[in-house]
Amino acid sequence: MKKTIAALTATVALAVPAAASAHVTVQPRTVTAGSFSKLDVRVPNERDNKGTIKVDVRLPDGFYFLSYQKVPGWKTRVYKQKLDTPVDLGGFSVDERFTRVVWTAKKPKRDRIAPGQFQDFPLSVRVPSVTAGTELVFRAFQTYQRGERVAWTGAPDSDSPAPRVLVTAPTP
Amino acid sequence: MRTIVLAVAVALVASAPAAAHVGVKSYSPKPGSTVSRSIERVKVTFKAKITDAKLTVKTSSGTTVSIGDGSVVNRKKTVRVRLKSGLAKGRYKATYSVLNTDGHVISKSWNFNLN
Repeated sequence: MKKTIAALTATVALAVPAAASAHVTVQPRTVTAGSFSKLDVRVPNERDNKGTIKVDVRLPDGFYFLSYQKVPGWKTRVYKQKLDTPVDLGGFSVDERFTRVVWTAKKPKRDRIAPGQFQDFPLSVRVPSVTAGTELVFRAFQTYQRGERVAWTGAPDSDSPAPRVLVTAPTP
Repeated sequence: MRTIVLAVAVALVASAPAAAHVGVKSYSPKPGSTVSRSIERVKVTFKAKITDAKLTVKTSSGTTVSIGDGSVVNRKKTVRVRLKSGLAKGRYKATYSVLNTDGHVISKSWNFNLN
């Protein structure tokens, strides 16, 4: 019986998602190269007198497959770019890449991320097939009510670091 | 104990990314059909846009009778390939391989006859 409880506790602990940190992040922090993964853009509201009404994320190179999950109250816009030279992916040719995803609160007063809240914006992607150890850097811009815009584009030790995800090698 | 297994199963399902595999709208020639040896092309049309696809045709003994590995046309909804001329009567096998817009690759074959 004791064993069952311990196992149950462990399961629950794993299932609880990582807590919202004070920064805009992309979760999980590590992903497997070339894998099909769900990435969450996690946006905490860091002001106590206004809410977040827009989130703008720039994708690094290598995102050729992406779809987004609908977030109630938010409009999602996905940007693609035609490639000058098509990329070869396992013998197939790919001629455009995803460059940017922008989420906008439909009705700011009602749909904003309010003080004390955070919101996950989920994406389903094929992770770029880059070398293990590569860091994917997502430059992000968070807009608050009344216009303040925070650029999450800094170095890891800066005040507003860009969200980073570490790419690991696929298991052979 | 059963509860734990269930919890793990749910966790696995929840973390799987979205996968949408586009279906086939039509094959030409149709699977199992018999058509004239004078046909010049074989093609597959999908129900939705794809990223890229290939198509090859072989005899029952495995000799390739298509020229190249096909090209994608019709606003990325069709892959078609030309056949060599002077093909013999008999059974042929066409195989397509498609890179879906979600990044997954699917391959399938069908047979038809020339008379």
